[in-house]
Amino acid sequence: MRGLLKDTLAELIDRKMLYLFGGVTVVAVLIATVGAQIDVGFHTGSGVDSEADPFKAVVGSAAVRGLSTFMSFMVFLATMATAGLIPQLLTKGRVDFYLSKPVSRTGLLLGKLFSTIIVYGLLITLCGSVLSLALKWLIGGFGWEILGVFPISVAALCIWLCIVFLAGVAFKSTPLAIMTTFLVWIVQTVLSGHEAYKQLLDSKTADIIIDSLYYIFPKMTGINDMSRELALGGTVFDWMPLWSSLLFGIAMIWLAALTFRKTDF
Amino acid sequence: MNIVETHELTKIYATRLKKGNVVALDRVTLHVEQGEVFGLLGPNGAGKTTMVKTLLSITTISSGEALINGLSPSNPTSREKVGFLPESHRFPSHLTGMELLHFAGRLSGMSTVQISQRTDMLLKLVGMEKWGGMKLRKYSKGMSQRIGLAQALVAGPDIVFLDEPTDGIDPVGKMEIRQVLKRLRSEGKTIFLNSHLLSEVEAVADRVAILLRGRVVRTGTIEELTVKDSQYEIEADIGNKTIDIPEEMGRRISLTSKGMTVALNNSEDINSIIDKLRMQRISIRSVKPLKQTLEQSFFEAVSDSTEPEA
Repeated sequence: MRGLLKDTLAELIDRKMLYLFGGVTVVAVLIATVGAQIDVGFHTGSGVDSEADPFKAVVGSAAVRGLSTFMSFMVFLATMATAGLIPQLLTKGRVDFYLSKPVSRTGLLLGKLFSTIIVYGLLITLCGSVLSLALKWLIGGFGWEILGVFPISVAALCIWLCIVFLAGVAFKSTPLAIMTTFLVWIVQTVLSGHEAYKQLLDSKTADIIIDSLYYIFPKMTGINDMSRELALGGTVFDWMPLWSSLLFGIAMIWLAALTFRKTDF
Repeated sequence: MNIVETHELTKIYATRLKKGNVVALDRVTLHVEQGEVFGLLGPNGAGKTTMVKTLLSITTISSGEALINGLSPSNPTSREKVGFLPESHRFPSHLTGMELLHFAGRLSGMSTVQISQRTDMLLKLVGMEKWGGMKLRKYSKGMSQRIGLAQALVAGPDIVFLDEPTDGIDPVGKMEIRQVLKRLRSEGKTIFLNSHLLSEVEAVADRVAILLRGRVVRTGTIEELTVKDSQYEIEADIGNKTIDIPEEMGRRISLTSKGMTVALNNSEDINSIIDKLRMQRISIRSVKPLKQTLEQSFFEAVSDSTEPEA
């Protein structure tokens, strides 16, 4: 596990992913800085005390929403950045190196998954922390509930990685892994409006099909909503989108392990 | 003691579009003893790489049995004391040579201290001590082979599988790798050498199997494979004397004033030939079994097994 962790970190550095994630964070901080300047100008003119300012709370809420969107984008970036990991690992000549070691195939796949989650999870958390500190300093208006965004984002990353790993093992192709992930994303986005479709179609069979698909597929849109709610200091009453999506991820990685175990190289 | 054993090992690749299956290994039965250098010979596509891959569980077994250190290849423990240098390897190019050794050691379950104790020695062994800090993507083919050999040895394996280890290496590099192999043998390591370079195998192997279209067509020591059955080279002062060999005994292949070559039906008949020469007062300097090169033996095996059946 430590070996795979070090390898994943070395690969991340070698592929200059730090520049990409760092660059995006810097751009986000710059946007926040510009936004804060406009806000400060407005306030200076109005002469209202910032601590008791209801306007400040609105701005703070916007900042939280901005951070939540930023984290979703970071999860997307991390998913795309890792889409090639498994196809690369499975290339002829490289997979032989891994499989000739006294590690089971399932152990190897899970080791790679966990090390990727740790490395990229820490990276997106670090980027998010930098932005949230910048937002706190520049804008304020929100509490430490904002930290709730991070575990939810890492959980979302886990789910996407499970999908990417399955596609990587099944197709051994980076473009196909990316396309599969996009396909799942499109389907889950479409399914997020399941209640509306049910009303439109008004058919019991259609209801069953739509509900089944909705419950089977991951609910990333729902998870994003949850993370925003938590960051805003609200209460999440239904955790179903998170746990059912995690179950979907577990099923995907189980399928990936099963496929990997039966594949000849 | 056998470190590798296969019994009726078969690997069939199911092709897509149902155009028929490819039999890569066809009921292969062989064994490799501890401490020997075993050479697996065969032309391209004979199944040599598949053989190694099945033994290391990189490829699944269709039927039959394989054992490494007495364990099934599907058991990861069987690979604890195994090193492997794959053919056309593509090690993670973002690592340096030293990092690759550490990574290989980690995957083999070694501690950092254990790995550190071995890396310097291994880099020196393969002549890469100056290049350990360089990224693998900057390595030449020869350097990659050397570091590949070092990573195969990092866990102190009892058996090392080498698939075309001198592929793409210059003659000096080949000689150095050969010396490494000889050193490993002197340390009691077992070496399973896959190669289509006959001279290379002949130089280091104790025992050889010739694989052709997935089947073992010949197996034995280099001596056994290169000695022609019941054929002898007799060095003697024959001069212009006539030596007749009875038909039931065999035939004379060549005859010169300094000796002759005979092919006998029964190897024990060589004594009768010697008696015959001595009766004619011919001075015999030496009698030795006729030997051929491993290359000749290989081509003979290949042509024997490609001849159409009657």
